[in-house]
Amino acid sequence: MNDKWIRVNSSEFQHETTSSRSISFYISPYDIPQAVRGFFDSETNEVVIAFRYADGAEPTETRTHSDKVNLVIGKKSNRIFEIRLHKDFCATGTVKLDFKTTEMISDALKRLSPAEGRTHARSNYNVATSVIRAKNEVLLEAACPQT
Amino acid sequence: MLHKKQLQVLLYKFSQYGFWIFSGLLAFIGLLQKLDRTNWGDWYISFRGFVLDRSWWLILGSSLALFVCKHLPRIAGSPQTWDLMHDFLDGLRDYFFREDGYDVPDFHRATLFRCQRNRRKRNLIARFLGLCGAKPKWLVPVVRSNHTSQETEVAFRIDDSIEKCEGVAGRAWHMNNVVSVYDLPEISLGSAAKEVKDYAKKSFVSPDWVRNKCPKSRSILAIPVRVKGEMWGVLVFDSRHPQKIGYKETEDLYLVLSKHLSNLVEKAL
Repeated sequence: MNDKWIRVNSSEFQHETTSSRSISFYISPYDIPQAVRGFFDSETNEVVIAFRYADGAEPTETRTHSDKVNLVIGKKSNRIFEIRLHKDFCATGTVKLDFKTTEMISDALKRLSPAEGRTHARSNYNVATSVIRAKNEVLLEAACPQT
Repeated sequence: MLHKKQLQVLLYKFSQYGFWIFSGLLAFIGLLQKLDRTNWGDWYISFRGFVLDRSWWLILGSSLALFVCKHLPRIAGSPQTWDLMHDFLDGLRDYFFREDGYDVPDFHRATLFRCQRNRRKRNLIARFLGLCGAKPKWLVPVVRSNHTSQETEVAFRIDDSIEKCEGVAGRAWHMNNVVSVYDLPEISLGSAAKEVKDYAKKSFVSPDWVRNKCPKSRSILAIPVRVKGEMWGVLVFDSRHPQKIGYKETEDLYLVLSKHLSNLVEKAL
């Protein structure tokens, strides 16, 4: 099973927002994953897309979006660490995460609201969605080796 | 508020030697209790009696001292790690401003700000606000590149409300974004009110703050720093040149180094 981390080129997902007052804003470097990987978790029978960040791991919690999607987010930063999909996503025999699936992930991330007292990580969710879209073939190939 | 090296070296050495001294003292008391030798002479019997009579206090005091010695380095940080952080900031500063050739190094600086509650100089206000239920947080400088301008007392207030966040650093912290401000007007004691107002507006501080501090920076780049997911502080680059400090070109290097920065911060503080 090829479940190696795939390096994410940050400049592909970084973008600059310039205001008229000589001020520019960029996404925090800690919100852009350094690497992503896809693998099949045989214990839970789930397809997993995992993200790794520059400041390392942090305690996480699982949020259930639907019976087919679970999201593992950082307790402190609210960043997305894992997207866990039902194994049906492999059984369809598709060789990539199709448009519907990525839209579903995007929707799940959009609905993810921060716990009380925590900052939102909206830019992190947007980058995560873009990374999945850009790397979908490699990710699902690694997560569903039988396809 | 910057890191005081001499005091920190003293505390670190005290904790290092103290740990062995107090551990040895505890072991010595234990040994004396076991070695009940009457044939070693009167001096030994009287010395043993003297120590064992006070053993309760000696054990309690040594245990407390051991606890302090064990935790002191975690509060003060090791001098070697602080030196590494200083070198790290020097290296980052050199890389971010590499295109400016052989300028005076002090024209470009890198400063690491840490988020903490209550600032020493404003403790009275902080305590007062604390009584009212609101505990203000501050971005306080802890390490700065170069060897000059180490005595700065500049700190920026941060708050859940963006309007109460001071400075470019405060804005970066609140928005969790990298913020770059450039083309700031040159400020001196005789600067016109319009320039002061323009500087204040662009750098998210009050005009009074600009008039009092007379900042020399004409371009600022603030990068939020996380440690194990938690918002820890802000890394600020500032320059006397008005040109924009390039972030996109240096982001890849920063991303590689940010893991080391997080590790260093974790070890040092």
